[in-house]
Order: sequence, then C-alpha cells, then structure tokens
Amino acid sequence: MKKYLYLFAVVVLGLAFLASCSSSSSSSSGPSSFDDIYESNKYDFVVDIDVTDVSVEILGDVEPQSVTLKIKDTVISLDSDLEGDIPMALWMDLMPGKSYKVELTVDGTTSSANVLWYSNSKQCANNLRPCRIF
Amino acid sequence: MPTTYDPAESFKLEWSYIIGKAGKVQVAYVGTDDDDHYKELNSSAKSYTFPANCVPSASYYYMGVSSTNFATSGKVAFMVSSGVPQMIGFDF
Repeated sequence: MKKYLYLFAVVVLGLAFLASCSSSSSSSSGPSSFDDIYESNKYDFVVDIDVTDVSVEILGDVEPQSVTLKIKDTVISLDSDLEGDIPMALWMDLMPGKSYKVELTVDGTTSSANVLWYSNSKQCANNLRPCRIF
Repeated sequence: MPTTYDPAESFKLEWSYIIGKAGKVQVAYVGTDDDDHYKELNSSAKSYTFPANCVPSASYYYMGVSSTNFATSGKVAFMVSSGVPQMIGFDF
C-alpha cells in the first residue's frame, strides 16, 4: 500500500511540476503589457487592430518604402499615415474565438502571426457581447 | 454603464464580463474630443476608478473597457483589441 501511495505522490508532484513549467513558458513567450512592446526596443513595427480600425506604427529607426498589411489573406488598404479600416465583408467573416493570420510586409519582408479575434460585426452592430461588456 | 459622468469627481467603473479569456491586458478609458485617459489593467480586473479631473469637462464622453491580445513575429508586434466605447451625454 505504501508503495502505491509513494507512486501516487510522485505522479502528482510530476504533474504539478509539468503544469508549472507549462504556465511559466507561456507567460514568458511574448509581450504581456503595452510597455513590453513600446519600451522594449525589440520591435520596429506594431500592427494595432482595434475592432475595425487598423494602424501600423513605426517604432524603429526605419523608413519603409512599401508596407502591405493582410488579414486572412485580404489586403487592408492603408493611407499615408499607415491607417485603415477592416472592410465590412472581411469583418463579417472574422469569428470571435478563432485565430486568423495577420501579415505585414515591409519592403518585401513578410512577418506574420496568428492572432485571436474577439468580436465580429454582428455582435458589435447589435451591441451584444463581447462588444458590450456592461 | 453610467448615464452621467462628472470628471471633477473620481468615478468607479465596474464590469462583470471580461472580453476574451485569453486576453493579455484590459484597458479602461474615458475621453472627450480633446483629451482622454487610459489605464492598463490586468486581464482579470473587473473595476477601475478614474481619478478626478483625468479629463476636462465636456458635453459628452466616451467610456469603456477593451481587451487586447498580443502576438509577435521577429521585429513586428501584433495587437488585437476589442471593446466598443459607450457614449455618455451624447445627444443622438
């Protein structure tokens, strides 16, 4: 009986250790605050998507000649300030809880990431959660 | 959601619903056409007290809480936020 209790304890401790390793690696895998992005000097560009507004901010000492932004393989039109809107047709396709590929191409070099979406047009147009939180 | 707001006094905004469980941070904000006040909060916060006079007096205000996720690729950071501000005092 003692042997099984010992084995059980080892398994529980092992699982607890693995869980702690997993949580620490995920929490340190990327930025966890705006300061991590804006104050770290790690990033030359920030793609900021706020519901339907999109902007590309230049943080680094770079002067790009061409900037192209794609969301779910759709090119987002940007003005001279590198700001734009997600087209309604695309926004209607973006579903909360799913991740979509966002690509930024600067002077021919493309960076991309899958980002989690929160809301879509139908919810916000009808002032439903998650657009409405109160 | 409040229907009135007086920036001369501190104001506690509370919410029970948090957008996006995987969100890294929340931001509580209040603003006018001329100025705004933002406060970064942790992802589990459910209230924030706006300090008195954090924005000037105005005929209407927008107020809300958004949640933001981050992703990175090389020298590029991606941020996706959600949260639509509520208007206070705006005469539609």
